[in-house]
Amino acid sequence: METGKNRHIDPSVFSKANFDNLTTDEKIETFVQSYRVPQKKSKAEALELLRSKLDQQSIEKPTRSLRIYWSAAASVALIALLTTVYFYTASSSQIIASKGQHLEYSLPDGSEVTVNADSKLSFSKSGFSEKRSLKLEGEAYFSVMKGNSFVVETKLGTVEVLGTTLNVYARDNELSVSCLTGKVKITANGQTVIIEPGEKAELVDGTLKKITNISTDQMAGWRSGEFHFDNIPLISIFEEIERQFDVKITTKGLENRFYTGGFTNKNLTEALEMVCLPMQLDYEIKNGNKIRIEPKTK
Amino acid sequence: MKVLSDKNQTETGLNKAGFEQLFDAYYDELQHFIYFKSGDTQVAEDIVQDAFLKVWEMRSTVRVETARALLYTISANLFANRYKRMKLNLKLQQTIIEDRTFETPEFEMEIKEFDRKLQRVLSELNENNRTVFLMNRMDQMTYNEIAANLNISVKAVEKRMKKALEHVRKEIEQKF
Repeated sequence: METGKNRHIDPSVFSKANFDNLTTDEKIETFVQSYRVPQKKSKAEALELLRSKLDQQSIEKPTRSLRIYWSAAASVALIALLTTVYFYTASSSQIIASKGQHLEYSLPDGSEVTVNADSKLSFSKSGFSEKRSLKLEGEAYFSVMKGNSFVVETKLGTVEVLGTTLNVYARDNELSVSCLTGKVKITANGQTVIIEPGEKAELVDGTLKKITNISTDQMAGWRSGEFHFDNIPLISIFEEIERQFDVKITTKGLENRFYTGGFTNKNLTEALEMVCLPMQLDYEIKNGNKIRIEPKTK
Repeated sequence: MKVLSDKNQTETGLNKAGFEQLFDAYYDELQHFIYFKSGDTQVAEDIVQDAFLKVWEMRSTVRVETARALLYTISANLFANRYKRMKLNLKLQQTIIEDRTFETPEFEMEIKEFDRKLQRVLSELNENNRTVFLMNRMDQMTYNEIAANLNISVKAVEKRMKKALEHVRKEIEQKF
């Protein structure tokens, strides 16, 4: 991109007769659009500098060991994947996604569900079409067929679907439900909230709160492997990485630190770097699945 | 039941040519981005250098589609970690004024005074609002592009734009 792209300000606006007739907004626009960002080095000089740094680096340290560990971990994950626990009896069904795994499943009524890593969904298969009721521990995304009531029970509250697609997060002491289309009713702690598309309900310290203006892309980004966080404790981010990659993470000195950003679940090293680099953290992978993270020492 | 996990995909990785393409495409806008936050060309250039170095270090895992947003994330976080809320003083170049001869010295003063005040008001803006505002107005990025680069919603971009404009308009009208 050129530094000065699209900026063709007619110099005659700076004649006295013209300038005095402009509104404040027009003056602001004219000025702002004709501003340039000063640069000490040109782009070409910056590229030269970067190249010289890269040349130095390649002499200093070849760092490949981490990737080898990871490929070992990947084959372990693959074996674990083939031995997925999947109970399916005549009356009651359980869908268990282990760590590092996402499962997609069609319910007897035709509704679709995607179960996130380290999550359990159970329901009674017989008579499901008459009484659509499921229990969830963890996180799942539902695309619900039209019909009678569809109820997801969690440890902290009950979610009743009045419409079509939603994301339910129920782990530890957290319950969070977001609505992508249709309407959803959430009941917890004797409180009830109805949410619509772009809204989210969260149980915070026993109070059920409604949050509006949420981007629906980010609500269930995990289904496409993308995790977004907005000012979330760093420790929770690493818990999510543990679930997505089936690894064990120990951290030190990360209390009271928050992160805004994201990671993708395609590759462990990439995910760790996406969080650790910007936050100035060091990580160390041992035996492919044990990770230690602490602030960089300087 | 279908297993969706596909963590072992390998469409990732950057070679030197791909890396330099990223540099060519995004160096300027990233340098501007950090300048909008810091008002300091040296800081902006150092941070962007380091951001590209980090991306190079992790090149085997970088996907081209997400590289731009990754560069923004790394640059923003490097800046936030190294420089805590510094008071800044934007010195944007106003080339049209510099090269021009004005009708009267009074008018030249009026223009330069407006420029000085506008830059001061922009400098005083909230960092996030200023950055989004200048990315849109100076670098001609659409709201969608800004939202994708900064990993925020388009609604949030709209909100920041509105706040920036309202503040600048109000302050400029007061100062004249």
